[in-house]
Amino acid sequence: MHRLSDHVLNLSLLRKIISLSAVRITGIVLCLVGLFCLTACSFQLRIQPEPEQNEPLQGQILLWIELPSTETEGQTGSIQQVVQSSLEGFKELYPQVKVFVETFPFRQIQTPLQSQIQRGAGPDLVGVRANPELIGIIKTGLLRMVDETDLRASQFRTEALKNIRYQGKNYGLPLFLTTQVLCYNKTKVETLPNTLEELIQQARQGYSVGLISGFLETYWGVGSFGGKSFENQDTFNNQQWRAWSQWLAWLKEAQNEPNFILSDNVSTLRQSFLNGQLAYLGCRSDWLSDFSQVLDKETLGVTLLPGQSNQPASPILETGIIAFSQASSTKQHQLALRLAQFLTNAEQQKRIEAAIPFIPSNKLVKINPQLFPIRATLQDQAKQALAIPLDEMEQSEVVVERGNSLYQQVLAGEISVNKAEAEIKATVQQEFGLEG
Amino acid sequence: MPDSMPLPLNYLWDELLKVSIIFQRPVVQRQFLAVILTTLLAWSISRWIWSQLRQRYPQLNIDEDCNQRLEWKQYGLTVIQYLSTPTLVLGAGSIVTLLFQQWGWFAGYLTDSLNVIAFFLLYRLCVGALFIFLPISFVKRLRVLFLGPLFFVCIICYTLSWFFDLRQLAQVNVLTLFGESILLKPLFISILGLYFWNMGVFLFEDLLLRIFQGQGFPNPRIRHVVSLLLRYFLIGLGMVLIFGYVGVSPTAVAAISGGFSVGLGFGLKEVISNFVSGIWLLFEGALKPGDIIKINGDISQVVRLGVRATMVQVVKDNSEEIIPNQIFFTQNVSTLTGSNNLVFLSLVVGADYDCSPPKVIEVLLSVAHDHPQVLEMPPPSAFALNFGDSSIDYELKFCIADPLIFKVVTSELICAVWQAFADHEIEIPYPQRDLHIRDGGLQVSSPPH
Repeated sequence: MHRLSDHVLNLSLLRKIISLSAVRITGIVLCLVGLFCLTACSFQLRIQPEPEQNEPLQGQILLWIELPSTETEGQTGSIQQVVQSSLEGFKELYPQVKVFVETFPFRQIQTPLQSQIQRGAGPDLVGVRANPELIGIIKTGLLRMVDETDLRASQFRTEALKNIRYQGKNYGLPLFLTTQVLCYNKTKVETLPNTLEELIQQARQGYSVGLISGFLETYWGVGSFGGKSFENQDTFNNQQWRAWSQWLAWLKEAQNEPNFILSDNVSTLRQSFLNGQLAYLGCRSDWLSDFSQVLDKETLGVTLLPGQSNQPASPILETGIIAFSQASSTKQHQLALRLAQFLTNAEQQKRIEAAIPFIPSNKLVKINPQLFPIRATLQDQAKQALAIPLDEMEQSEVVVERGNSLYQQVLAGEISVNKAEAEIKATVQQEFGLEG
Repeated sequence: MPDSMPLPLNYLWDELLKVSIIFQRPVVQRQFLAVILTTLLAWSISRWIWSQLRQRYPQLNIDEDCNQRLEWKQYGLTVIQYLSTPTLVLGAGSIVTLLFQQWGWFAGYLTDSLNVIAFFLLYRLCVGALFIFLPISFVKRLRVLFLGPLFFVCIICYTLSWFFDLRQLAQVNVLTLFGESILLKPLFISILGLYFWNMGVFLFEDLLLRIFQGQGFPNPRIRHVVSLLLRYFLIGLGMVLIFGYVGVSPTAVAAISGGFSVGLGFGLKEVISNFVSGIWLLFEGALKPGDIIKINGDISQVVRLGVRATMVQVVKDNSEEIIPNQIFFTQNVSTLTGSNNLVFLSLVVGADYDCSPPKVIEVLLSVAHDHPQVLEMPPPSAFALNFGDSSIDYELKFCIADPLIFKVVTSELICAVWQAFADHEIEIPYPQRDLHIRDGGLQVSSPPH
């Protein structure tokens, strides 16, 4: 009986405690709900006006950087060194701002970027190549728009600006450009080829030429046949695809030359050039930092890709941009914006350009061709290069995919160049909704 | 960065600072605030529902300790108690997440939190299902020692993966020992791996013993030996596997074992000796739990056989004694239950010279046969021993099956013999002393005044 009464007593006490706790907890929860509502209402995603200029900037931000496509140790090291040096310069200006840097391999940044920003985590600013996957992130509203006053568009190259604008809005600041040039071995080459004919002649004379195979990789030759633009803004560009088919026919003939190597094995071509087995190599401008570490100034030479008379080569121009996370707090975004502006100003771009071969996005950067011939060549080549606007990148991706398939079929002799031309035109018309 | 490259310890600090950057963001603060509020709200609602149920069904006691198996109503209540909170939190969390997404707010961490709660619900479902099939006390042990910690570790790892790159975190060099880097991953795997392996082995052994017991496995000694040997074999195997997986440096092992070899030789000599003795005892089967032995002059019962020591219960005072195993090899130990449990006892009693010895023997035998604890086989026997000073002495020899009750049986038999002798008018004589006072008187003197 005694135990039973104890048990009943304990039970009633327990119930009282539970009910009391429930009341208290409900009260606490209601208070917290109120607090939450107040907090939620106060959170605004819009960028607040900048603080007074006399107020020192302070805080921490996170920067993610996508590494170049080749990603050799030397290249990664030199890029990290340049980034570190730039950040030190920034720290001198803003000593109370700390920037944490994380690097990601080429084309492996988009997935973590999207998943992290969706949480509200991830970087405050990200250095990334403009590519179709970026559009997916923009569409989900995870990247922050940059207004014209923050952009200071007048200082940037027009081509670079095409890669930050999507549907009339700016989604970052252009940081650098990359394109293709013709690398050569100075110890092997006596006369530089200005035209495609001269290039093939040199190949016949025994100067080995290596070109990367692929639709986009070889698109630079289209300009030599009169194709001027990859863009299909308003009307269908018939001449462009005619030029492409002529270029394909030229490549098909050229690949039969014994010293003319057309290969999609990038690493082998690079290594062959570095070993001195190739006299010429169609290379990407972002490889040059790596090449310059292996080949000295007396060996490595860079010239414009060969075209035809009055019809220069037209390589594709890619843009590295600095984009901003929508998740950052107002203060963090201000710091990130300040850092991006710092990295893209003419002075800083000149410093970066002096450290590694680099095409600045800032057009105010002037390069002395006598002192820096490689850098001057890169700039010259960039002027003739074609940019795929961000607005057309999704459709262009389909065209590139189809173009790659047709390119392979033509070179393999499976279809004629005329059929390839017709098919690529059909794809373009379909994707861009144009009339022939 | 390659996996094998160790990272300095300050990498952790940098990572924490990066996390602090993330927590400075209102969009993150808002999500975590929402998670906390939703959880608290759902939890309080769950408690309220639970209290209402307790009021409605006060007769149903769901205290698991009170019942070996739960009744279906009790089980229903238990299920409600176990699943109501995570279910409500999951429901409320889903609504809040949908609202966040509807408003275009960041909801990544909310979705992640829902995964955690869903995982928690699944965990509780699994534990609940175990209560149906396995004994409650075992499931409780399983939950507290194994499943709960395992779930906790998984959740911690999952939560950390929201903020850190765990592959990189695993490469953090915690300390350098004998020139070898000790990374976070091997350390983590070693500690947790050993814990979970050992707990798993103990629980497996427990389950195995229960199954043996349930199946009516006849020989407890074999049952015990098998489980004990299996336990130590699995623990040893686990250690080898875990340290092998972690890749413990042979150099470090050589350095440690070299440095400690002298210490091991002297300090752990007794431990190793006991360990080997324990293994030997188990294989030899000389002792088993329940055996009655005579050690240090006391009769004791073996309670538990361990690899290092054996626990015995002293019959005299019910105290428990932990005896190192090597004692059994260095001292003479008598066992009363070696090949069988039979104990032979004898009772000596004297009877009057007037009584016929065959009659006395018959009475003694009948008393022995009548006692329930006295075994019929081997049969009790009675003998006339000798002609004493005042009686003929008889001895009753009998056998019992339980050595621990010999005093009780002997006492009861003495009483029964006395009663039987009284009934049969057999006198139990005892030596008598006659006092004779001689003539002459005793001179008594009074003290002078």
